[in-house]
Amino acid sequence: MGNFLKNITLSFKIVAVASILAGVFLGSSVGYIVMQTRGALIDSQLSVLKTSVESERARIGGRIDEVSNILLAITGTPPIQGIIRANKNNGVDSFENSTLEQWRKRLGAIFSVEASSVNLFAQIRLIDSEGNEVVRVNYDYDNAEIVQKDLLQNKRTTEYFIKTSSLKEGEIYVSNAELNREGAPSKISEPYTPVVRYATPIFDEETGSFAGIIVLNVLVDKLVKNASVPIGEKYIIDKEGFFISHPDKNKEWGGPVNLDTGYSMQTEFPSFSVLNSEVSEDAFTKDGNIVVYAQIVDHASGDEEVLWSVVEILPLSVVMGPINKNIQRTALIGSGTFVLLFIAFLFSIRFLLRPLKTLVYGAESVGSGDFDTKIPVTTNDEIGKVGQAFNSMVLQIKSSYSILEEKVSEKTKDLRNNLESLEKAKLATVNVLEDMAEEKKKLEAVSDRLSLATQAAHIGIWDWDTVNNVLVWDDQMYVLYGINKDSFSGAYEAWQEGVHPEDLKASDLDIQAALKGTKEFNTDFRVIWPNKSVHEIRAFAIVKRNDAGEPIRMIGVNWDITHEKEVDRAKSEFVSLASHQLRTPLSTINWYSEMLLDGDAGKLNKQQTDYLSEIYKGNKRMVELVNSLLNVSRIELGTFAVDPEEVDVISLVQETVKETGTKAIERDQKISVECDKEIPIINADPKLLRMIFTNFITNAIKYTPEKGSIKIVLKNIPKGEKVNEKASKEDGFLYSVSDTGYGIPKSEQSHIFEKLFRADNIQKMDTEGTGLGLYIVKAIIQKIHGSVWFESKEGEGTTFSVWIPLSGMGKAKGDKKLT
Amino acid sequence: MNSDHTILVAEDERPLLEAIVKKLGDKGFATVAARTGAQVIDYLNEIENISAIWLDHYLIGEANGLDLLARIKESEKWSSIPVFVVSNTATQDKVATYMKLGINKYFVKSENKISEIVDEVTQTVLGEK
Repeated sequence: MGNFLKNITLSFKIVAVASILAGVFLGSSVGYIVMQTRGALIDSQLSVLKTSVESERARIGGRIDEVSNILLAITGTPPIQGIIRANKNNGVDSFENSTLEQWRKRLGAIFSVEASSVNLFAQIRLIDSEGNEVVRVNYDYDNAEIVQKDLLQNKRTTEYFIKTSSLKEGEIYVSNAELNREGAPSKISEPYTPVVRYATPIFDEETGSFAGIIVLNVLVDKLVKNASVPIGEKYIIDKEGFFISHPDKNKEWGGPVNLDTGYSMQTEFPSFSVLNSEVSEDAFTKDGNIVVYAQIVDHASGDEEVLWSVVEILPLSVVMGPINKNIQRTALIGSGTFVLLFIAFLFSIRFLLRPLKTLVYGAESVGSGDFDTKIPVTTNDEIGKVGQAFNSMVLQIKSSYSILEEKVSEKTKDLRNNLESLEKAKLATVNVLEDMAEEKKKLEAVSDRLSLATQAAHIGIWDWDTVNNVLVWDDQMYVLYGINKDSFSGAYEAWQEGVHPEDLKASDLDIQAALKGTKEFNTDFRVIWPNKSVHEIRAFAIVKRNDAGEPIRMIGVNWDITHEKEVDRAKSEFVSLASHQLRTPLSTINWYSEMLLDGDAGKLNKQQTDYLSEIYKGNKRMVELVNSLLNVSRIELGTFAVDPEEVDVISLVQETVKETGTKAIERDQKISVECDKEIPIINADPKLLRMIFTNFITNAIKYTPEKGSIKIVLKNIPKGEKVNEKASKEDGFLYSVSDTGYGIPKSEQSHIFEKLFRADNIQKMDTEGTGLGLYIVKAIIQKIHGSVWFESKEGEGTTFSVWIPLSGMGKAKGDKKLT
Repeated sequence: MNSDHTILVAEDERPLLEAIVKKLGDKGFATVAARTGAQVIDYLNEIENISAIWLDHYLIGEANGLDLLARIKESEKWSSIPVFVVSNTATQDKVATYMKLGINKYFVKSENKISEIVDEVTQTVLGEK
């Protein structure tokens, strides 16, 4: 279809469109005219039919009324009362001096006259109050016959007698149209003589009592015939719808053989059965027919009852016959004209479009590369001008094409040269790519190994784009946090959701410090799984920065240390409990030694006192060792508390010097203190500070020979000032203790802060010491974000220093305090 | 006379208990010694005027020093009796709880001389050393 539309010519398209438009216009115009004409014709026919039906109704109605008048007139004639009187008086009317027989004859004569005058009646009779026919006149073919007395019948059981006998004076009974019946049992008389019975009661003038009825049998045929010639098919139907009058005689009276199942309006015209019910319209078109009807009302009975209906039906085909012929004729002529016009139009258009065709051929020729094409221009109209413009355009294209060819030739040359260079570059690139592929393979192998290693070690790897806040986890991370991939949004906040609320602030601070570059990210925290179980996580990460030093990425690892922590905790709990249990017997030794020394058990001699003092001192050292072990266990548990309060550092240093000074005096050592008075009151845990200060001094005293010297320095260090060869990051103070002691051998200096480490040179000497003091100091310093270091030369002495920030110590929750 | 004052000593370690009783006796105090929580309550009920209580954290039986102290401080009759806790158990939480319940002082056995503790008790009870 698409191809067909593409291939048909312009001329054909124009003609086709014009034809379609003309066809639509002509069709709709003719349709409109036909519709209008049809409507007018139907209206006109309806009007004619209405007049016809109405005239028929009026004619029949008038005759029926005439019958009523005749009937009533008869009741007032003298023979009626005469017969009544004679009947009462054995056949003698003494009032008029006449006999019943005389009155019968006179009435028969009146009946005959009436029957002849209107030529409508089949019978006229008088029936007495007992139902006996008194007088009957039969009228047939213009001949009135008074029936002989012995042929008169009793009509008491007839419907018309029964119904009429109950009427009042002047009222009339009108029967439906009926076929006359004669004999007993009665039979329908043939030929069929349809009648309508008109009856009225008569009364005795003297007594006013019912005296009988007068009945007129009106011939229906005569009543309805003699109508004007109908336009359509005319029908008269009775109340039940049976045909009183039908164009086909055999269908009248329903076909008299069987009135119950015979022809009626309902059976013949089921769709018009509406005529027998209440209707609002007396004219309509239905099923291709125009239907008009009118009701004949019985005025005589006084009930204004519909007696019959006159119906006239005219098929529309009859009405439309002439106009249909005209339409056919018009259509034939129109089609012929249309074909002729189409052909003429097609040729005209082809003629007009011929120059355009030449233009098309020219364009096709130029399109195929013939720039010498020139089309003939024969007219000066719009197409002629297009032709001129086309010729001029072809000349220009020809000129441009030659220039273009030259340029293309040049560019092709350049392109060839470039292609050669590219070919070389391609070769080089292939070589590089091969090298890269090899490197990639190596890298993949390393990556695989790393991946396997992390999987085996249950280490999760994370990568956080800090600029866009996109956090990417490997599979192991989800295992560590007990969640699935769908429930993780991949942002920093999503990670925080899993962290234990108590650890959230500290871990966040650690990350912020790492991003700022003030601290390495190496921290532990707890996570809560969706099933509420708590897991310990250790995290380590490095921060990647851009050229400006701003953090852009943080890559790190997590692993589960829950089990590790539990083992540590159990270990430390054991040490803690063991230490506690050790204290009780130590206390016993302490107190009893003390009591003996105090003379509570009697005075001791010098030797006893010396021995007991050794026991007492040894026991004290044992208590110290146990305390140190307890502190170590608390440090390793991470459960030691920091309880800051306002502390005067200078006073604290002086106190510790005083407390430990007696030992130095015993050893004839010289202690000097150099205090910077600018150190302010700080917020710190005094117990922890005291432990640091005391540890340095007691170490110096212990590991310096007699007569040596010890120097204690307390110095304010403002932010930026160098301390331990680095610029201080914030305001703080320096506490250092220098001695002229044994010093630490260089080879052992790296172990000095390790737990239970004691240098070789010291162990050979008779010095007290647990090897735990510096380990504890280092742990405290780390907890309060300070720093500790030393300088030592074997045989010359040692200086231990700490730097503590003036911002002091933050409160840290813990089960236990260091003692 | 110091013997007018009775010190209730609650300590589960027999040697320590004996040392305490001896030292307090030397100061002239009458002492009653209990090794279980039940004994402490019995003595408090039986003896009208206990001047001070020397209380260890660990005692024989289920009740510990904290349970006893809570009961003592709840009682209108006993709540004003000075209490000295002398224990080797010195966790931060426990010390804080003891102090909060209203003890006079907390001593760590291994850190303090017995004579120092006895002096402190004497000073509190008699108002002198």
